[in-house]
Amino acid sequence: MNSVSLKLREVAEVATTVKWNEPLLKVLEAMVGEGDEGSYRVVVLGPHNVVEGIITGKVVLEILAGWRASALRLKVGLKGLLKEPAHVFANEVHNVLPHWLSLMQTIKYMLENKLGYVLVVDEHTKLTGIVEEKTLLPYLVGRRYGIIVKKVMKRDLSMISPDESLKNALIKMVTRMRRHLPVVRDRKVKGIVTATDILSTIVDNIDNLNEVLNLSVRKVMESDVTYVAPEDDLGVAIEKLVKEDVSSVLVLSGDYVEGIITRLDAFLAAANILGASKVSSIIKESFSRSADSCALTR
Amino acid sequence: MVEVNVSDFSRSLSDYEPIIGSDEVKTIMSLAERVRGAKVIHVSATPYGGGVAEILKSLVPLSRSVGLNVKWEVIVADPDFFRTTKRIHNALQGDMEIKLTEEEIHHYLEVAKKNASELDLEGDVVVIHDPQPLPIIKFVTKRSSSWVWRCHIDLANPNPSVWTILKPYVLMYDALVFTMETYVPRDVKGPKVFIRRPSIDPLSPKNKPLSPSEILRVLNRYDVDPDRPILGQVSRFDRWKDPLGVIDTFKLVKEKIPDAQLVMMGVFAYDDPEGVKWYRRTVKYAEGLKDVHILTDHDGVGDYEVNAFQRASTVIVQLSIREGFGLVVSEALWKGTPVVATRAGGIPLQIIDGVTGYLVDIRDYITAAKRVVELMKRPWLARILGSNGREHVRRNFLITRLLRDYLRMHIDLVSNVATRPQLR
Repeated sequence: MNSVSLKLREVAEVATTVKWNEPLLKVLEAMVGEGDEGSYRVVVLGPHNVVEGIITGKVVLEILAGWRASALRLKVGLKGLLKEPAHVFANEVHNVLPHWLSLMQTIKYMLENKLGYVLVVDEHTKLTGIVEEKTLLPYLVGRRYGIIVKKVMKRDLSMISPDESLKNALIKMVTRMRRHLPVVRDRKVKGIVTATDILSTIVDNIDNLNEVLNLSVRKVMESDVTYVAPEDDLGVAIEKLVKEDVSSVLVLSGDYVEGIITRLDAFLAAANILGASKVSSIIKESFSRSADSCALTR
Repeated sequence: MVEVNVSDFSRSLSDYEPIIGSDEVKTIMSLAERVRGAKVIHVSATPYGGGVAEILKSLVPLSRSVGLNVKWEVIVADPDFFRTTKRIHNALQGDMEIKLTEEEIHHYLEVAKKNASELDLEGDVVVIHDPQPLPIIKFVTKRSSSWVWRCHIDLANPNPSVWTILKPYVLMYDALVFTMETYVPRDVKGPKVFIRRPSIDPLSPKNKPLSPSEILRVLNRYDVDPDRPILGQVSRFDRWKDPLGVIDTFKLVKEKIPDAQLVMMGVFAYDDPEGVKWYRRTVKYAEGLKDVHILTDHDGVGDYEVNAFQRASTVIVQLSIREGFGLVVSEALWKGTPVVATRAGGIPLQIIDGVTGYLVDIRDYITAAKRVVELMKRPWLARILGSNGREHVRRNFLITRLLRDYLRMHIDLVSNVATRPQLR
């Protein structure tokens, strides 16, 4: 097999984008998407597809919680805010990489900086795609990593009761910088509520925002939680994250929440163990196999 | 009160158009229009030396050029105050041995109180930079503006006894700005938190293009041989920058490349009382070692000279033990000079290992020297890494990005934009 690593232009996925002057509402819609098409990260493009910034679900939650753009909200109200151009709310991106860079070097860069994504641009700095943990993680399924979940999980959790309002969930996510809140009663797990769950509910009910924010967490949470045990191998967590297409798995001891592992935690831990070079060659082999099978089909 | 005069650095956004393109200029102007005329006051500890002054020297005139009414003020304080704030700085960076005395705390607060009464703090947004002026907020009687604390240092693992003293003041701010998410202390809950990366100004005297003859003149002035390889380092004289480690690395380089020269450049910021001590230690440590040039502002080294040396260096090293961001790495990369640097602070964001330079572990002088030698022996490799580095900085770390970040933050915080009279 050719040892040259794949280039970013070969592996980058199409990024979800909005134009800089399109309204914030469009960003929300892009995040929620249809079916599985929603994206937590929406890239804001300038007039000629040059990257102007990025808006993540976290930023939108901050806006909805009144944490961000509060001055503008006073002036135009929440509905008015949704009509404001996207680039007002974007964050700058400082991990924009050239399309000729190798996947191996990129994974190394992501590991060094604990990044969940990089944006890929051409020689004219026009966006050509995105490489993110979500699309890399599936290549790491089907392995044992020799490290138990307990060693990788986050223990510093924010939890919420099923009876609390969505607004409270929103505030907890924003102030504690969390995207996933385990829902518990008497410390026993009842479900999980994620930033995406809240955003979807809001977008579906955008005209009744106040009512939506007063809904109880119970109405929105996912009660069929995906979980692993603290002593499970990291590979088990990766398998569940990928096969059940969830952004986090809870770590449970019986009914009690011990911790959480997100896609990013799992990707960084696994890639650290394997090394950037190995991850890159696993992905390359997989690319070669699918190219071969396409050739056979033809 | 000292207002810093930045008229020497005046330039307008349109000057950047050849570098960033007209689209970026257009979107920046669209953001700026929303906060046109907003009064923004930056308060820092020193008008020169270190990354904060470096950024404000460019950000202030650039913000003015897009219609904001921006001032930069520097606190007035005595050497005792700066000795204390240096200790605070070291404690926040993780020196667990430090305990502030009652007297030190009292004086720290007294200086803040005095500056609160003397500085012009009436504006729409007041941005306080770093821990030195942090407690001023407590002593401001009439607070109509939004107050932002811009912390340029890593607070992930602060000395608890010192952090406990500072934290109540931090929580009084409307918003906090950190360089990296990992720098935000876990127990800070309340104010808005923004993550903002610093950046370099490609048109500042420190970064603007220089001709070969200008560079040669600077080398000649300091007796540095232009025909031999140069290892450069630009830093304050500070234990966190590990100047002695740089000399150790150079000794190892010298074994392989006997004609190599080391040029260490630094400026004595007046808020850094340890600078002179570390300078002397560095000079002493280098005693007897040939081809070492340790230069400071006392030797006439300023932005222009640093610019020339960064361009003339074969390789730049930055072997910091702790870093806020390490913007000097981007400065060197912008000039096409490859960098060998430690995995500290924001350095790994600037260096794609093996692509724009090399990363080494903290205090791993053997690997650092090996990488420097590799780049000195292979000019073609140095050229490729340097060129990649320049493009990486262009894509990610130019001042216009920071301007956009600040404009968005002002839009977020300035409530009376609708009624603001237009200046034009």
